[in-house]
Amino acid sequence: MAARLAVVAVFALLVLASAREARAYPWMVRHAYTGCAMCHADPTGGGVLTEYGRAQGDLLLRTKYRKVPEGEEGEPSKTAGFLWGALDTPEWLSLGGSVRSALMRNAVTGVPATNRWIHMESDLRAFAKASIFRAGASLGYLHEGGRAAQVTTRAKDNLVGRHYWIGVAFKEDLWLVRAGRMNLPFGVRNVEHTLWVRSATRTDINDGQQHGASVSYNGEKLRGELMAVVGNYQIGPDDYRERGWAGFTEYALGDRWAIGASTLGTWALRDKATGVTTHREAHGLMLRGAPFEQLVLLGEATVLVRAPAGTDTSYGFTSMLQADWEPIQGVHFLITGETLKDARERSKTSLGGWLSAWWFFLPHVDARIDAIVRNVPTPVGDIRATTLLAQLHAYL
Amino acid sequence: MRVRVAMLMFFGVLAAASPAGASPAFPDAVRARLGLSYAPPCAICHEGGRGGAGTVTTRFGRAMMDRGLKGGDGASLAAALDAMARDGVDSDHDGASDVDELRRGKDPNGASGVAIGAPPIEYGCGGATVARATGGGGGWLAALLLAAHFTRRRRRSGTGRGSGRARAAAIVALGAATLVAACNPYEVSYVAPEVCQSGRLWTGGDSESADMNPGMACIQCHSRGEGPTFTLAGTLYAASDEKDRCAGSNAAVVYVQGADGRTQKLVPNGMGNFSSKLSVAMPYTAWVQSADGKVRRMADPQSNGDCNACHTQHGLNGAPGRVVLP
Ligand code: HEC
Ligand code: HEC
Ligand code: HEC
Repeated sequence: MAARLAVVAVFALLVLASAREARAYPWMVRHAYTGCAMCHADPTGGGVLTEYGRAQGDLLLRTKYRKVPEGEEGEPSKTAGFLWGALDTPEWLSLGGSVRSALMRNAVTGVPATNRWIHMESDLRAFAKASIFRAGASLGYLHEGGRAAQVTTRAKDNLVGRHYWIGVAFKEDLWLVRAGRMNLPFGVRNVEHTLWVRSATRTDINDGQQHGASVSYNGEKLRGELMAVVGNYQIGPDDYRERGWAGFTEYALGDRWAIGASTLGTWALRDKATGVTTHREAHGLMLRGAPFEQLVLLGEATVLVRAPAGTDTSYGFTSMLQADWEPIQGVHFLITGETLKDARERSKTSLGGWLSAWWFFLPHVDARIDAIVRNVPTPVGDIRATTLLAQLHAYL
Repeated sequence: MRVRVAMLMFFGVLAAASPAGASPAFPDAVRARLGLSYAPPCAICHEGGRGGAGTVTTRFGRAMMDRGLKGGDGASLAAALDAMARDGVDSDHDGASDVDELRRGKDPNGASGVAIGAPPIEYGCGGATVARATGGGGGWLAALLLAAHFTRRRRRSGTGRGSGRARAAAIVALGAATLVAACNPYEVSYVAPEVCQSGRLWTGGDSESADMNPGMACIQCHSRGEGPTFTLAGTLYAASDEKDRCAGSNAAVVYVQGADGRTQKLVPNGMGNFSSKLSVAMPYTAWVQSADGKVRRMADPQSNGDCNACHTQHGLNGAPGRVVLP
């Protein structure tokens, strides 16, 4: 049923012709880019693109409708720059931004289906470098959601600052030491922030960032980051802030495969879910690879540990496997399977499946449609949630 | 996440329907049985705090069930609490028994004696707790000035390379100044009516100000050693069920008459807070009087000058909610 809906939706979308984005795309591994630092100002991926990244985005991401004239294959078009090339930025500054909106239909057993328009992102991002100094920041507006990243304190219509950091780079950017509010270095940096591997570990790039300091290494084969997490200072009171560590390392096997491991551990005097003093950990493995250029596999498997004061330590598990098939440049079909067993006593395994189509149909613009089915067992019976999500996204 | 929201709604529906074995009345029953000034949260028994069968897995909750607690059975609750007190159960092994901890406002499941009744999570810069009001307007002004400066420079320098840089610098400066201005932790935030009916919320934490913590028990908190020693203190509201820290009203004046017949006039400030350090002969009576002479009077004399200790959002010790305008 969901699959049929997905097919209908995909066709509807193709007819309506719409969009694409460039945030961290872990599947760029298909073009033999195992690392992120070449294209992203944040060496662990996500956020502002470097000039090189913009050029690659133009060359490799979007659908090309005309044959590129001979001799110009490696030349990005004029629209590759910030705001489609309307604004020239000096070399020391990279600007970027992202606007993303979605229509969502959600049907949960026992609850009437809801239709919502969600404005997910309207962020401006900047990255500056001067000699060995590096700085990055994002600022945006959200009508709803993204609460843990909000800067202003209203219930709705807030300014959000998802990341801002300053740092020092050594050895020609091989090492970066930085402090500020950053994405947690953990797992695959999926754009799909609601995937259980992201939400259960609280490491999504929507509003899962935390304040802290980190060291990252971006070698050709080996890369990684270790962060001392001091808590999210955009929530309060202090009891709720999680402190600890987060880190990952990834090693490239050949041109198109990379394996990695992540670890995370935090303490909070009052956990937002359990309400009491809680220690939690997550340890996982990840895999990115392209068996051939049209197909990319992303996988992650993570053990969850939670020890709320007053209860025994519980163990859980979450995993994700995604296949991304790009038959024509810029057109992606994705199948994702995911599991979650909460680190809670007597919790049962939830299953989720995603069918997605994604089209980078214009420079800086992409459209995506997802059909998501999730089954969550609870003591009072299974809850089945079906979500249809249609997104339009522009990368500035 | 959307699933979680849906689940919350789902459980919300469940809780509202209150099946036979449900225990939403337990917090109040625990309060009554142990003579607490507050009702403990569902989370002392239900892990995650949402309630529901199979989620009574906290150590305190399990110890209670071991002593006969059954969902929806008030008599079993009283018996289990008595048994807990008798056995001196200490769920978190911190040396203080569960019942003692509850009496002292501590979480029986919390390792380091975390206070119970979780303060709600707050969102925004500095978690809205490290407050100090220094004109947020300053930041915006700086942003505007910077923008103006760069725009003028750009006009003068015409087009060409320099202008691109100036424009970029203007954007960055504007962004940074906006962040600084917005990050400026305001002591009072403007919030949606579903947060505070008055539209204003105190977000200044315990920072030194007579506007602080409207609606909360002033004397009780100050008695921990910080803040002035008041004999009388409280908050006047327009709505009788405003949440803690929501701004009140100063559209009327509070009078307190001691047992010796002496009357004090307490004038609320802009947040609705009023206080006095003058001694009061207990018990006292109190009333609120508006400029046009309307009066709202507390019928029973009281011996505790901490008005908000009883006049909470929903009222404690029989009080009808907030001290409100006549
Ligand atoms: C003193 C401990 C305690 C407190 C406090 C408490 N509960 Fe319970 N609750 C129980 C027990 C015991 C059960 C039965 C659990 C079982 O049988 O698995 C229960 C069961 C429930 C059930 C399921 C009933 C059913 O038959 O399915 C709901 C719903 C519930 N509680 C909601 C709440 C809510 C909401 C609160 C807070 C307002 C709350 N409870 C506070 C102990 C408590
Ligand atoms: C949760 C604890 C808490 C509550 C509740 C509380 N206060 Fe305070 N109050 C403090 C602390 C701590 C200080 C000392 C702050 C400092 O010195 O920085 C203080 C200081 C003050 C001061 C002195 C300010 C100054 O300028 O020196 C006043 C006046 C005051 N409080 C009024 C109130 C009133 C009125 C209420 C009730 C509506 C109240 N407080 C509720 C903790 C509290
Ligand atoms: C120990 C608990 C307690 C304290 C402390 C307390 N009150 Fe009350 N208050 C009550 C109760 C109970 C009622 C309702 C019964 C009555 O009117 O006596 C009430 C009612 C009132 C009313 C009338 C409400 C109405 O809607 O008619 C006013 C006004 C009032 N209180 C003001 C105050 C003020 C001012 C203070 C602090 C100086 C204060 N109270 C302190 C318990 C308290």
